[in-house]
Amino acid sequence: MDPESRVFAKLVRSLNDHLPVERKTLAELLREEKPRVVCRDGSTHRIRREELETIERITGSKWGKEAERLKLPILIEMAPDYGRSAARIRGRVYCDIVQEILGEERKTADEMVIFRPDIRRLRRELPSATQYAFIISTV
Amino acid sequence: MAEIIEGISPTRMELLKLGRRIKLAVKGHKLLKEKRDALVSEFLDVVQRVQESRDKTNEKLAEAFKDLLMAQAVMGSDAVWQISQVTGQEIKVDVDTMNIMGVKVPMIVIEDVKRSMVDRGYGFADTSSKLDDASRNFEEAIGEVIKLAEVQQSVQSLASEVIKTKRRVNALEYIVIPRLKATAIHIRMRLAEMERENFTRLKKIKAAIEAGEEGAEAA
Repeated sequence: MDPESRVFAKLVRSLNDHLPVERKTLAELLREEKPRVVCRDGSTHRIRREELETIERITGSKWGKEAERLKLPILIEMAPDYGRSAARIRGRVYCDIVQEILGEERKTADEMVIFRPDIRRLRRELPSATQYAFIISTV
Repeated sequence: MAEIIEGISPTRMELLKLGRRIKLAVKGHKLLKEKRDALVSEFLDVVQRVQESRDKTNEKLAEAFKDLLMAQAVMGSDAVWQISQVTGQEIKVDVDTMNIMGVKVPMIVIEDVKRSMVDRGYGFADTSSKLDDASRNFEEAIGEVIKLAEVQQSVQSLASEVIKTKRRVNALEYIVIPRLKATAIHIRMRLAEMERENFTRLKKIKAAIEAGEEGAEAA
């Protein structure tokens, strides 16, 4: 890797330092007294129990036991390739949760693209159960 | 036009390297801009929450103090003060952190601070109903004050991160990228000039050779 690419890789890494080292499942987090994940920068990120319960309620009816394997926090992937302030949500269950929160039906398969007003609404509803991820070159 | 980077030799190799650096700087700039926009959006949301929380807190505290004054008027200040000494004064708060794009903001989880009449620890017979109202309103106000403390601290942390990210975006947008582009233009112009110089030199050499050949033929 040439020096420029190394610098760029470092920048991307530093932008994503707040992401968890390992995401935990919904069931695991619900079992914990203080549900939290450890971030790459060594800090901890606490997830509010009420948000976990909201997610459990949304997914429980449709996905049953499978929902317990859902890994949290939900990643809001910000990719400049999708245009300014557009974000991607990947994973069928995650898309279901987002759709339920935004209150709109969209034809989606395994991923959906949301824009700034939707991101704000989603973050307002699930401020600790969602996290931004900055990614490069996706399409 | 922006300044050029000193000490870069005008070669094709450097031009290629610069091209790569410009591409990466533009990509980095786009990513940082995304982060800045997301941070600003978070910041505005939290500011709105601060305002809402502050209004609620003020409203609750005003109500509570009004009820307290009424209770003091009915029962007397000393009696109210004595009752305040016998009631439990501990609130369990759990202070943790939340990480928003690298900004560590506090998360304060509180157990329900509202207590039942029995839990408050004073008798009902010799106290005014205004004291109960004051207690209830103060309990509600405490919850709001704690929420306000959480969002107020978040605003400060997010604001300083917004400023930092903005500075980085601006440095890339107004200094680094224009400087890289200006240097690339400078190298391209220098290479074109060198090519023209070379062309003229070759023409002169050719003319000199031809002149030499003609001279030799004439002799």
